[in-house]
Amino acid sequence: MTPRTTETFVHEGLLYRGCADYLAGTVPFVRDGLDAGEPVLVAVPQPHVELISDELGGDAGQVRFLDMAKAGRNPNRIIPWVLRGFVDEFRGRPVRIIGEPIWPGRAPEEIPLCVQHEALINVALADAPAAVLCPYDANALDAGVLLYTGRTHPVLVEDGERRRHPGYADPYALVALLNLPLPEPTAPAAELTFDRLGLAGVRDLVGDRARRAGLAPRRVVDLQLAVNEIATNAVTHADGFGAVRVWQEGLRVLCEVRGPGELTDWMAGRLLPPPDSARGRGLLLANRLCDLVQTYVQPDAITTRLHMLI
Amino acid sequence: MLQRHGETPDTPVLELPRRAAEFAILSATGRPGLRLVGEVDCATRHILDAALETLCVDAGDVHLDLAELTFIDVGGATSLVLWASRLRQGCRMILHDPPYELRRIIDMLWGQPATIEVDPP
Repeated sequence: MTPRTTETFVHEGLLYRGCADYLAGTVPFVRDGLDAGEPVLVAVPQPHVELISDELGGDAGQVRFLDMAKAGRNPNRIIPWVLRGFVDEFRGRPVRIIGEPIWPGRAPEEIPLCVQHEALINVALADAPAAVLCPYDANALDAGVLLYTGRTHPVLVEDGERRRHPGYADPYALVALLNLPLPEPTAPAAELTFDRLGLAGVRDLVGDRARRAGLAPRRVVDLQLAVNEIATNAVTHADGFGAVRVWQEGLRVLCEVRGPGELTDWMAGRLLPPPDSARGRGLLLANRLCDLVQTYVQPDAITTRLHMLI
Repeated sequence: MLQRHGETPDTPVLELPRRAAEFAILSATGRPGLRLVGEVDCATRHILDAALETLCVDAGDVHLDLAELTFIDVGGATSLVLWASRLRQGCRMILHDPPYELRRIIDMLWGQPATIEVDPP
């Protein structure tokens, strides 16, 4: 195994067991970066931010920290705003990132999106001089989740050993494998069909239902904005009708748009277009504003489900 | 108009009419510029684009009164940002009293574009 370098893209999964193992796997990675004068980002859940920061002592001030449970609550947000954002900030300089998108306690419906996100990192940063290390709690995460680490990371680190993983899979093939039908709502849903002249009605319906569910006023507007973008895609990328439904499950409002169309690229909604581009920001904004964005693609239809926590 | 998809029994029937966005552009009162009234979405964006093209080509500072703009989508916000970038060198598009969603879209997707000024900040 060749030594780690940040001259080209490196994406490694770290399988750790306990605090000491976590620190042994992450802190030298950070220190090597600092010693080389590389910008370092540590995007992990807050308790792990504190763990790494304490261990680094005075050097912690040279590291950028982010609470991944917030920044990456919606996993689709991590590539554009956490990873690519950091890489682009330093324009071509080698950078190091610790990114921990999956932790014990992630809701079951979030896991496939996290795995898809991990796979697409290999596409999004393929040309970037970045080393990305992703810790996985081998004691607490389900075996099914851990199985995917080898499919999404070309290199795995375990017990201090780095090895190239033979199960590493083509990112797009893996993402397509996790393209699964969404479960039917568990509560009654309000539904409406629309065409391109009916989007105001869609916003009315979503606003009404979200307010009644108790979503805070600005979050209601965020949801209306997000739904409007998805609905716009449904009726402008292909002429015709879309259908929207809204319902509440526990402490979340869900809003689903189903419309004709085909997905041309799973990276859609995960990259910021150039500032002068007229297109390519609708799904991106939905990813930024919503707590989860699920997509199910069929040959002739796309279903997008937006989640907002109340 | 109302349809169900999927198998969800007990779906409440909604008495919501199909509603399209309504949008008009008027002259600003008390200063040169435009007053945007109503909602900008994919049904009305062409009205905004046509007005901005007339207003912004080779123009100096441009004022938009947005207090009566009740909705704008990402496409409409993109039009504002792109036309603002085509004003004469050193000139800006000033957005007066923009709705929360416009501030939100610009902030999330562009940060602070050099040629846009928001009033009040």
